[in-house]
Amino acid sequence: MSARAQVAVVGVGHSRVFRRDEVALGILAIEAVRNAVEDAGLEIADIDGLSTTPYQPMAGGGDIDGLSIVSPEFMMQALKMDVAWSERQLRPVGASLINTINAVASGQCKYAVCFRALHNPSGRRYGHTNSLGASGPGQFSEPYGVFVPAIWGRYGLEHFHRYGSSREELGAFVVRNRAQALKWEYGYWAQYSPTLLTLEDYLTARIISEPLGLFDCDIPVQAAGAFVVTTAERAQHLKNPPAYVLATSSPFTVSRGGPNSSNLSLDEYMVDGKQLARHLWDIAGIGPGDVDVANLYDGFSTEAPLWAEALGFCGEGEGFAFVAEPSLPLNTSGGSLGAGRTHGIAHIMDSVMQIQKRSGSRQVQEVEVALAVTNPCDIGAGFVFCSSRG
Amino acid sequence: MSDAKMGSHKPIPESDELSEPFWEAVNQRKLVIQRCQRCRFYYHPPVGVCLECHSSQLAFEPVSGNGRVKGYSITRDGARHPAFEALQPYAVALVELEEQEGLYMLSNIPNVSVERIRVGLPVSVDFEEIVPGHLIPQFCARSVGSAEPQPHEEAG
Repeated sequence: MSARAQVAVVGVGHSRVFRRDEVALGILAIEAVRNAVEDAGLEIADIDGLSTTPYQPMAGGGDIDGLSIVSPEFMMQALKMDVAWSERQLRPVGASLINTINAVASGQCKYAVCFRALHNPSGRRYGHTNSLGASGPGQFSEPYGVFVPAIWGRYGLEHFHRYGSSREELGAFVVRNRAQALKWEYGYWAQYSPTLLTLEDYLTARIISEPLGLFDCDIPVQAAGAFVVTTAERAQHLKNPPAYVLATSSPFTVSRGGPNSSNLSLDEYMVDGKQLARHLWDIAGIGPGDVDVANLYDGFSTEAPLWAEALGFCGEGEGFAFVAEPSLPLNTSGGSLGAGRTHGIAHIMDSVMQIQKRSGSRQVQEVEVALAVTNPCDIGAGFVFCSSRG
Repeated sequence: MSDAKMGSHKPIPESDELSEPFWEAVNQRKLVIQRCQRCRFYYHPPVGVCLECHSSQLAFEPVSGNGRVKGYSITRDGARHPAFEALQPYAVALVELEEQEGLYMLSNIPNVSVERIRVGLPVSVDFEEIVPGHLIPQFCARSVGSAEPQPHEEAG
């Protein structure tokens, strides 16, 4: 028995994309919001709900509103918005969009926008620090030189050890993903370096944290995306076909070890992903076999196969083989590896566009159900979008 | 290495209300782990209340310092701090302590080359002085270079 959708995504918008902060982040966020509202056939004056996650994933990127972060307050003032509801979300973009959906579903607002702006400062390597002290959860990880790629490398090597999966499987995914990414017009690679990647390019690139090489890591960018959400009833009267939200889930377990996954083993990480998946399918009333297109988060390449396993697209231990030769259209947006480090904007945005039959050269035929998951399993958000209310 | 990097060191752990006994013991070359005094469950990092039985009676107890590598990665070009850029390649391993399933600590397994690190490798705790007076636990491969003195090794 399928759910009946209360809410739909009716507009999407993306800013220009820059490698670094050539253009102020606030300007890009405004672009994304305006584009999304226009895409929905609405005016800024129609928007009465607003959510964003202003926080940036890297250390020491600054906190100047409009330059290095963009708050909901900045957006309300810059666009003279008159909102009934707004939210400054602590968790990643998926949670922000879910709360936007819930605010509309509960009648707190009629037409709400969720936006996300990602910053990449000039003149320094992303996330570089020369901190001489480590406090909070970092006191147990920073003295050991735990930087984010090492976490995703560790899950990968643990999977290799246990199930015999390989870099070649990951490579097949990354190479195909790049080809797909060249059709994602909002992506870094499509805009700045529209070249295909070969398996040899992949295998010979410098290693960052084993088994992750350069092309297993999404490239940090400065960009913003936005989504317009309204009720299923109001969506009937707008210009785009609605992408109905059949189900969402964001348990945000972070089982232990603080703000990132540095203190989890593969086992606990998969428990977190399976918990999200179980609730998502239960709420949706459908299962992985009903999905026509899937956009699995791939900020680091090893995240996608682990999501595939958690969501039941393949069996335990089969995720790497699955993403190498998927049984359904996978990461049609080119994902984060193709778009740049936009934390799932591409995954959500193309899933919505696939449902709306607006994906152009990326369009999969006969899409009724699209799945998107953002961020890693322990801080992830899942979405099932549908072309009918269910 | 540039001059700017010469003076840098690994981040020194800053203890807090919960972790102070842990770091005090580490600075005396002892490994203690927080344990619930009612249900005997171990916690690392330490917690405010036992998440198993909800007791507030938590205390730090000595542990064997033995464990196994549960998972690891080798950072070759992913370090984002001068002290670690200079160390590349280095391992970051998740060590599971023998006292309890799922009781993990991070470590670099500094006594063996990164090529020798494997899932399941037996390790024992040692300590690294990152600046004078400030130590961190460092698990070392047990099979070679154990904490025990090896007086005959140099005799030949």
